[in-house]
Amino acid sequence: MNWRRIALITVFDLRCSVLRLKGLIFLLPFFLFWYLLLREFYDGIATRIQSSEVLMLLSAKFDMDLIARLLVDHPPSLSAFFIFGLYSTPFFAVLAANDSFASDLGNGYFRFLTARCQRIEIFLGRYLSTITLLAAALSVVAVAAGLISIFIEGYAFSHVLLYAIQITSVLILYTAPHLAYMTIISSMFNSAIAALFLGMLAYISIVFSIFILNILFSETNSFTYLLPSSVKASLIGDDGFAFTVAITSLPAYTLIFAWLGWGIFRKRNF
Amino acid sequence: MTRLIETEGLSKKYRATPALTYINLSIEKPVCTGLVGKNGAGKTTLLSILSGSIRQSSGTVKVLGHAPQGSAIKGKVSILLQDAHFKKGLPVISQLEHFAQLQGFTKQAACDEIADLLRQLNNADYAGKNPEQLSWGQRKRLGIVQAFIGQPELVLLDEPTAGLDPLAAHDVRKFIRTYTDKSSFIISSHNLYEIEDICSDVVILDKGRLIAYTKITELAGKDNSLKISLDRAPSEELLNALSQLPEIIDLKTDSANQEKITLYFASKQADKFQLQVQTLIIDQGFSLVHLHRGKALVDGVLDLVDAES
Repeated sequence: MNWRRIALITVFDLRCSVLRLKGLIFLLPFFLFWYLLLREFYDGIATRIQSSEVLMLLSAKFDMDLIARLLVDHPPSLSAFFIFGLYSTPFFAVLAANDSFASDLGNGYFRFLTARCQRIEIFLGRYLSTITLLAAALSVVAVAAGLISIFIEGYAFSHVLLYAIQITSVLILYTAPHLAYMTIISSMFNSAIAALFLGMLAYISIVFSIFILNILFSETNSFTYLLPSSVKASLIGDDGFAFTVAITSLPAYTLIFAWLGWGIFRKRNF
Repeated sequence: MTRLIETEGLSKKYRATPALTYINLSIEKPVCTGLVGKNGAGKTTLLSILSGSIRQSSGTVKVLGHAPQGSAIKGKVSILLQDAHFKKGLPVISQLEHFAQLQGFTKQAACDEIADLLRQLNNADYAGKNPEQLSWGQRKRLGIVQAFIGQPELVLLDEPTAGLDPLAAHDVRKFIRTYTDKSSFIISSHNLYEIEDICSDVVILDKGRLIAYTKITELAGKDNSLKISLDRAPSEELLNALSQLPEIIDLKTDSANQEKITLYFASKQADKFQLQVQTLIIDQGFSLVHLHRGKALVDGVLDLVDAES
């Protein structure tokens, strides 16, 4: 395995993502979504959320300490970025990674690469490119949310900086297994559109199946752990041990999904 | 000595359909080998396996002494396949530079290498465009450029001149010829005159099976036939006169091209016999438009494929 070639593939694919439809299909909805959300915070929604009436209303559904920590102790706009980020990750991962391999499997482009690189280098390069793209996009939103926290919500710079780094790192780690899941889907199809729709359909089907299995076998919730979204609550919560277990499980999910994706990709006819 | 290619019992199936069946082939370098056969003979599949684009179903393959998927031969073998396409929406020149960098060139060296190759194929002006803005022929020429980056030890070309206009095809053949003393080639083509022109050896495939691997000179015997094109269809008198020559074994006319005759002969003095035939034709009031001594590769290939089937 040659890391220089992996780096070259990563950088070249990133460039393609920014310049071509492949990237725009992710970047446009991603930034539109965050623009619409953060605009509310820019317009001062944080003050209304922090009012005692709203907090009382939320406490009926969520743990009061957690709500206080997220919306009062920490800047609300960054907390909103964190929570909405966790919930929207599967959707944006499908958008960002549906074309990791699919189009190039269809149009024969990989035939130019296989004469120059090993398949594992192509696989890793493309995966790293996608995660870098998502990490960069998340960082841009984190900066925007951080600026709102400082200038609109009046939080201290050092506090905002530390919290922004913490939640962005968690979000990037949480993104990794979802992108690895998409390596399975994108390796199976010769068309980005097919990978996009079937990636979403497969994910929704798995979530629905888990839901049904949990009802049928109500004494155990272990089916929930088939997907990384099972650790979402632990990532948001304030239980240190649960958080540590959740954060360390993410690389494990990533490795399992990526191994499955690699298993398909290595056997594909280019 | 490291062999260029060595296959043992190489087979490939696409689901249940066999594309290659038990190919045993050993090619030594340096060489320029033609790969010929009808549509569906397995030529592209063989090239794809040699380049590592697809995996064989069974058997072993070694290219330059290594497995095609291995790291050791990356950058030493290049390929131009008919159904491989550049990425849309990105200038081809930047894609070519990327390929060169993957082969170990620095950014500047990659730019210089591509500029040099483009200069040799006289197409520097359109390489800066996106592939969707180029004609099929232009993309094909740029595909050929990518196959020559870094002067690979082995270049695999699948129909390099198919779809090109005669002048462009001539340029490509000329370009390939300038590299035949530096790299080894395996060229798949339906144009057997092109194979005969460029290559020294030929591999013949039919329905996924290896029919022959031989020197072209052995296949296209030079002293046993004369192919003649006249200015018009030959008269009965001329055909009779030719048939009565003692050296003649067989005389064939072509019903589709009536002005063409093929003479099969046995003579130890082939030059003298050829002159005798030419004189006879001219004496009968006909003009010679074309005369070719020896069997063309196409006849040799057809004979072998017919014999096999």
